[in-house]
Formats: sequence, C-alpha cells, structure tokens
Amino acid sequence: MSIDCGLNTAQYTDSNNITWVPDTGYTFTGQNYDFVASDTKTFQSLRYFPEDRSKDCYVLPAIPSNTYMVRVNFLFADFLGTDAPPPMFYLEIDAVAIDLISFTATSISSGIYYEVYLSATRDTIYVFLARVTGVPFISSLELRALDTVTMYRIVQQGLLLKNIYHANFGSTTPIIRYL
Amino acid sequence: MERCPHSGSCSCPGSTNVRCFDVHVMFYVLVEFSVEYTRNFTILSDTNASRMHSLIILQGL
Repeated sequence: MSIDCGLNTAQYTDSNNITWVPDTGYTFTGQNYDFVASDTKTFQSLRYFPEDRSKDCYVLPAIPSNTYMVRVNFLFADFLGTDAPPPMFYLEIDAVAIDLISFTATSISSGIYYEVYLSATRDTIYVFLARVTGVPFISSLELRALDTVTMYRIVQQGLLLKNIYHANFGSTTPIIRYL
Repeated sequence: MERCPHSGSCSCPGSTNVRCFDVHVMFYVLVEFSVEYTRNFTILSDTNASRMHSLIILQGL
C-alpha cells in the first residue's frame, strides 16, 4: 500500500509501477496542500494538521503477527506561509516514538524519511504525528508486508526496528529500493 | 585499530576509504548474514574490499 498524503485527485501509477492512492479513509483530519515545486508527483501534495490537537493519526490495515515495513516521508513546504513557526513533532508508530522531526524556516523543500520494521499486534497499525510546536504534516506513507518467517524475526518479540543506514558497496547504479 | 572517536564517519590510521560506525545502543545488523548485537560494537568496513557487499543498520526501539 502506498498513500500519497494530501492527494486530492484519483490514484495514479508512477514510473516504478507503484500505485499511489489518496489518504482518504486512512486519516480523518487535516488539510490538503499542493506543493508543485517537487519533480516527484508523490511529493507534490502533503497533508497538514492545523487543528489544535496533540496528536493526529493514520490508521493502516494489517494482519496481526505479520511483519511489515512502514516508510514515512516528509518533504517540507511553507504550507502556512513563511511567518508561521516551523513544525516540530514526534513520529510515533503504534505508540512508540520513532524520532523527533524538526524543520526550520530555511528547510523549505528539504525532506526526511523513515523506515520502520514491526510486527502488527492487531489488525491496524497506527501512525501518529504528535505536535510539539508548529503544525505537523506528512507527505507519503507506505506499508509493505514482509516475509514473517525469514525477515527481521526479532520484531516478533515486540521490538520495532528503525533504519539507520543502508549501503550498497561498490554499486555504480542509482539508489535502489525495496518496492 | 583505534576505535572511532565518535559516531559517524571517520578515517582510521593505516587504512584508506574506511568508514567507522560507533554504536552505543542495540542494533540489528545484516552483513551478508544476520547477527544480533546487544552491546557496544564498532563496525569497520573497507569499501575497497570485495567481500563487503552491503550493510544495513537498524536500531531497536
């Protein structure tokens, strides 16, 4: 599942043959913002959450005990104008804090992504944005089912794993990714 | 071989094109095979060596 957050048109398929769907039905708050400065269609929209609320969430469908990778992308845009305080918020998945995400006024068009591996404990996976200052936002959200038997079996013990570093030594090809 | 003075990339004496990762929390590491570390460790990977194909570092939360 690949969710283009804030997308206000129909689903589409990108050049990697990945179909991106709108976030309607996965979150129930926030507003769309179109960000045409990016060359990548997935990042040409985002959803921000201006309401006065401590947490906003996405609810993703899952099968209990199955292993998943959750990939979250944030590409910052000045969706509230340049005078607004830049966002600072926690990314949480199933109530576990993944990281504190902080942008500055000079961070326009800069981005950050996270990949988290976990075992679903119920039939949903919750992705929270917990506000610290400013207004939280999100650009895209991806959920990939992994082989529960062979991959990252340690997550079956309740541990979440966060990607720190990936290296493909000696490669002369562009960045590769697990679709 | 001296340990990395701090987290992140650095150059180690006697080697070229070496990256060091000094890790102070539990990580799950895949270097062609799976190994679980539960204590501090340092990975030294000579990127000129053909035996090093890929490296994935994941932090346990």
